[in-house]
Amino acid sequence: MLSMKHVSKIFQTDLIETHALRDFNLEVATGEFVAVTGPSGSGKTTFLNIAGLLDPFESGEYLLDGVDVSHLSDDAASALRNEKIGFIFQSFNLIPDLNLFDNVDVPLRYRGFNAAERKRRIERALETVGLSGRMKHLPSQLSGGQQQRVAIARALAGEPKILLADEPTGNLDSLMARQVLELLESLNEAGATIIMVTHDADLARRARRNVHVLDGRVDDYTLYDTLDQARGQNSGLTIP
Amino acid sequence: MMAYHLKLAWLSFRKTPVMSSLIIGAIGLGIGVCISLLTVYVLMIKDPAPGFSDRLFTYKLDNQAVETAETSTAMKHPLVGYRDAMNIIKSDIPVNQSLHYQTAAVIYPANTNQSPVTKQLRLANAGFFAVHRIPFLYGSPWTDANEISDPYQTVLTRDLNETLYAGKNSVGKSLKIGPNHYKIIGVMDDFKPMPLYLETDSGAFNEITGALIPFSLTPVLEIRKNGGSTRCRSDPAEDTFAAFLETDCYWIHHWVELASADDVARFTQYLDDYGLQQRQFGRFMGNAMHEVHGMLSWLEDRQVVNQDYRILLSLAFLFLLVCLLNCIGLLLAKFLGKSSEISLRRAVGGSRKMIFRQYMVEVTLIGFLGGCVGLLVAASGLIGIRALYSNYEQLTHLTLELSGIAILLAIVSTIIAGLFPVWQVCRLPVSQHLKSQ
Repeated sequence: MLSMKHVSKIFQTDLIETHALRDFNLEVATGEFVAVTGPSGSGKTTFLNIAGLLDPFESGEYLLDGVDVSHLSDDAASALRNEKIGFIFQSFNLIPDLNLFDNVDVPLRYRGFNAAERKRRIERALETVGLSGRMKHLPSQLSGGQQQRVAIARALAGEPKILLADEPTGNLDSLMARQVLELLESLNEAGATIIMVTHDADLARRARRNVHVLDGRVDDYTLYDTLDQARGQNSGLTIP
Repeated sequence: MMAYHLKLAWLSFRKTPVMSSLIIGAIGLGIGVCISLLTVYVLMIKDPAPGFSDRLFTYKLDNQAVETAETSTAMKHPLVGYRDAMNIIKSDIPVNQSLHYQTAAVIYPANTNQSPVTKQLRLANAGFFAVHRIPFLYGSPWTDANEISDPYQTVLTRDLNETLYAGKNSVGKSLKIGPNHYKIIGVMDDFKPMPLYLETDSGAFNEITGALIPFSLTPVLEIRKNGGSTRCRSDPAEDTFAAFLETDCYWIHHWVELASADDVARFTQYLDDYGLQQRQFGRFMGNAMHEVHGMLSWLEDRQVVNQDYRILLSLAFLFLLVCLLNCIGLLLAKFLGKSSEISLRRAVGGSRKMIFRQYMVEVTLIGFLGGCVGLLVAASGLIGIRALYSNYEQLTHLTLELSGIAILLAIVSTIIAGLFPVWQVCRLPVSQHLKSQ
């Protein structure tokens, strides 16, 4: 599903050159639930931005669902993002003036679906996250957890190949965080590929694979035999 | 997608009403000032006799009293004296010739309950009606023949007929103008050439009102010009009207209708010949540099639209430019305030082109609303101009055509002003603003 080989990313100012990613290698298979962890400044978010085609990279190879994204035009990258990627952000990034229906509608508009198809997808996505009865509500009328569920519905509506989540529970209390995580787990069980960036080790353990990033490189990763094992917080197998 | 973009534009307007109103107000003010002055200007420069203006000519005689090497156009008087008019009108080159001048008279309504009114009175020959294509509501004008044989006849303008006869057909009735009674033979329909090319000396934006009587009555009733310009080279030999008519005084409007370029050349030659002939009597001592002007060239010569007004119009457009420069800043601030939303839209699949289109629709809507506000400002401006300059009454009406131009100008100029801000926000680094919400 996702293959990065020797990817590097440099942020440059007049005075400083920062290697955010260096020789970054990662393979994510279809249906995987991968947690990317690491300390602040390790390159987790940079990886996610590159994975989501939001930022370019200097060198290396990145194949998304078999498509080489190294030299895509803005139009092509946008279309690919729209079709294959669903984003879930820490701060939800809902548009406050639009109701839930219209928020979920945003990516579908860019896909060019007709009104009936959009309606069908929006209703199904909101039903999946348990908010089908609140389509006409504005985001400000919802709790943080509900807002994040709307953001997940927006990510799901386009039926993407992969979900990229950046600290999806970072702005939620523990109860709501658990609800959101359970939703992500159920989506993964239904076949969705999920990459979740988090600095929360407990949260990371609930993924099937943990990828630890340090200084812009994959430092090591941990595989759990089963989801149950992972969620049982077993130490799992660490491969250096 | 257009409806979707319009909906988003409207939501954006509602979200930032103060900022949006400021932008719309700035555009409206700039457009309003421009359109109010442009309205006046367009009416000033338009062809007042469409379809036949190219056949209408008047002239300036090189009538210097002493020999001069060259006579500038400013030294030549734009009007003609009675003696010269009576001579030149004998030419058979023009198809029609119009002589007229303006005065004023007390008019006594037939209904004695109505008070006498002082109105404009024009003395005009029969050719006046033909040359200027005067439309008639009732009756008809006098002819060359009955102007002499039966001169006590009058033609009323439509507004005087409204005043005196409530707009009904008054042909055949008798009307006392000054000390004499006249038979009404016709009522003019609306005749409002703008500018009033045939009479630029008394205000090129006035209207012809009141009544007209035959030019042939000039020496009979000894009616002098009242209003407009009368200039004499010398005092009359005696203090009589007959002496005044023989003196080199210039006060009559003489227009000729010429059918072709050949006729224009022939008529110019005719004036040259006339000048040489008059030279034998000690007149026309200049270089015989007579000028024959077509109607549009005449309006230029008389500076109907003066340079000051053109400068004022340029300043109005400069003001619009300043308003638009302000709008660029305001639009940039407005759109940068939506960085998070723009980044989100980019993240979920909106390309730069799509975002550009969305915000250009919003800019277009702002331009349209700015144009509507501009129309209100322009209408107010025109009311102000009308209040300040009463002779601009006819020039201060917003036409449908100019209203359309106002809206179009507002939209186009706002789109131009919006290009930079929209282009800027389309290039925002997406990932940076997704974190900042």
